[in-house]
Amino acid sequence: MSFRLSITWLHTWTGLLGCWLLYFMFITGSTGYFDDEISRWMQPEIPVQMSSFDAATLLPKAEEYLRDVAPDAAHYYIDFPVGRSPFYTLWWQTQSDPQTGRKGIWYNKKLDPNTGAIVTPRDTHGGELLYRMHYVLHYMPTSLAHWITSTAAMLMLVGLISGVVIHRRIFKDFFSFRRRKPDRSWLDLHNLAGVLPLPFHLMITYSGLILLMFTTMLAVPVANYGAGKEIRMAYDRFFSEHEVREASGNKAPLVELSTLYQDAAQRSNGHPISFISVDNPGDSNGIVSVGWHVTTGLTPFQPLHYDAVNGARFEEQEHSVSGAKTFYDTMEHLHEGQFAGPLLRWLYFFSGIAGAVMVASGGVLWAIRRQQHQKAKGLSVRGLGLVQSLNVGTFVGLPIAIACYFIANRLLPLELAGRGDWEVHCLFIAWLIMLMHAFVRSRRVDHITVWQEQLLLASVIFAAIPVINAITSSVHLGETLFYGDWVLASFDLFMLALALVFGVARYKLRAKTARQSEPCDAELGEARL
Amino acid sequence: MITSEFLLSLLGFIFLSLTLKRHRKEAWPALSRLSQKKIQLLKIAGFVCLLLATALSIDAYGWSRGLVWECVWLSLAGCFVSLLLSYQPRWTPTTTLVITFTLITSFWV
Repeated sequence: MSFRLSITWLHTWTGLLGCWLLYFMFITGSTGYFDDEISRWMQPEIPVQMSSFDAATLLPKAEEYLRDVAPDAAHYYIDFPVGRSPFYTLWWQTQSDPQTGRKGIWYNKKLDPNTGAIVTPRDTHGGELLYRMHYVLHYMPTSLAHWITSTAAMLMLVGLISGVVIHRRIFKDFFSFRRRKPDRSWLDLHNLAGVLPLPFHLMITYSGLILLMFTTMLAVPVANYGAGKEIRMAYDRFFSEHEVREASGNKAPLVELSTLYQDAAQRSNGHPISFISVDNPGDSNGIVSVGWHVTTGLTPFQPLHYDAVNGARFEEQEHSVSGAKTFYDTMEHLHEGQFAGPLLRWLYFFSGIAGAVMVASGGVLWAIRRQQHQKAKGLSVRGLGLVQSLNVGTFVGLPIAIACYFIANRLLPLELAGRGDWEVHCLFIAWLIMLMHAFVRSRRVDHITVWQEQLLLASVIFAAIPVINAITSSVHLGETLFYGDWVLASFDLFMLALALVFGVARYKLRAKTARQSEPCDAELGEARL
Repeated sequence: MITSEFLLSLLGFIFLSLTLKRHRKEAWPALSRLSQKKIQLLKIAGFVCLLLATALSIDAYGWSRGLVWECVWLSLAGCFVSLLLSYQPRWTPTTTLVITFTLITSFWV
């Protein structure tokens, strides 16, 4: 076997093995660039901030609440309604287990950004769970999921590099999209979706692997630092944001946070303060960090650090950051795109969708090639039916399932126990139904028909989301467009756009099959070429 | 929001696509009999535009963000040129003129 042939073999089979899981990861991961926006849509009870944030009166309410509910917390984190997140959210983390060193659990509560009153929105996991699924999956332990998604990312990396190697005319076909040639169009689409955002694909795959290195490559640090508590200490030493001060165990009252807020606001060059975090609140060795969004570099936040008892600001000492941390952080910032403004964020999102299109078109291409092979040689290809059904059930079925997640958020009764979990169950039940539909229907009808049926359903269900939203909530398009609430309006409009895309895809597919069922000689000739 | 970095990336990719025979024939038939030397010039002009766009991005956003943005502009410009050549190849000369004109005015002002 020649070099190129063996690499083609590698590309074909790693691609086929990974394509459905990678499609899931690309789609759910892309939603992560709008996790706050999705969460907002999924919790319409949370009031919108009406005027600029009044820290002097609202911050003491947060402090009071945190002192009452979590006097012994290891961390406080207060998220201010700034930028993409319009929420005033309080987070606290319980103390870590002294035996195992395992970190405590984070809890959160949302406050009304206008009055500081506690808000109890509907129980949902929101956009956060949707994007977290791209690396923790669901219904399985996190470490297993990390292994599975890391393996998939490895297949993706192999697929990308082998794809570039076997792309014989990568420069000559750089701009080629011969959409009228049935043989070429899928391959051209696969190539375009792969080559044009190639920097993004390589970055997202490689940085994804790096982000999970503490699962997949744990053996390396364990060999150097030991397992259990030692490795956690080593991690803290190399990867913590600033100098770690161990809790002294002596109680001391926490400084008034609003004074630090005011101090930091004067030093932030007009940037609004976006968070306050407190390490070891109520301890004499506590540290308060106050930070804001920055607009240069890749680091999303710029924090100032204060002593948590007397409120003295630590001078900007050159905190020695390990090279490993710098590299890891750069990878993380690039992967998460937290620094990105609205335009760049949309482009991040569409690059992710291009990744999904790339793996999906790869899967379709495999099936088309095998089908041609089958027709030409008159042999039946094993697994072709399986791949075709998985293709439809995943590439169209997964978007349908995600639409069901959004619809479940509006339709499940508010008092249902474990409501948030049931939203996710709805997603997976819907996906299972779509897969079953693909398998069962493809025994009776042509798989093109199955594609058409699912595309039609996808179009209808995405168009239904804004309608159901209008019936069940007060944040419908009429309201949001009228008040210029572009975040919520964009969500509904984007659902309509998706409905249109699926509808057009279905229409084109039907037109094409109608043309092919009454073929004229010229077209047949072209198809054979 | 159209930036001069994006326009330069577009122009660069259009020049580069015109160095390929198939695109030249479809998009700009007047150029179909270009001498080898002029094709080389077109190629150089294309890469110069892309490099200039990169330099402008880095100048505007700093090294780290600038490179991210330039990757974005290149991907976007590549998509645009591919769609243009596939759906409306005959519009290429007009598009090139409009881009050049916009670029010149944006630097002028």
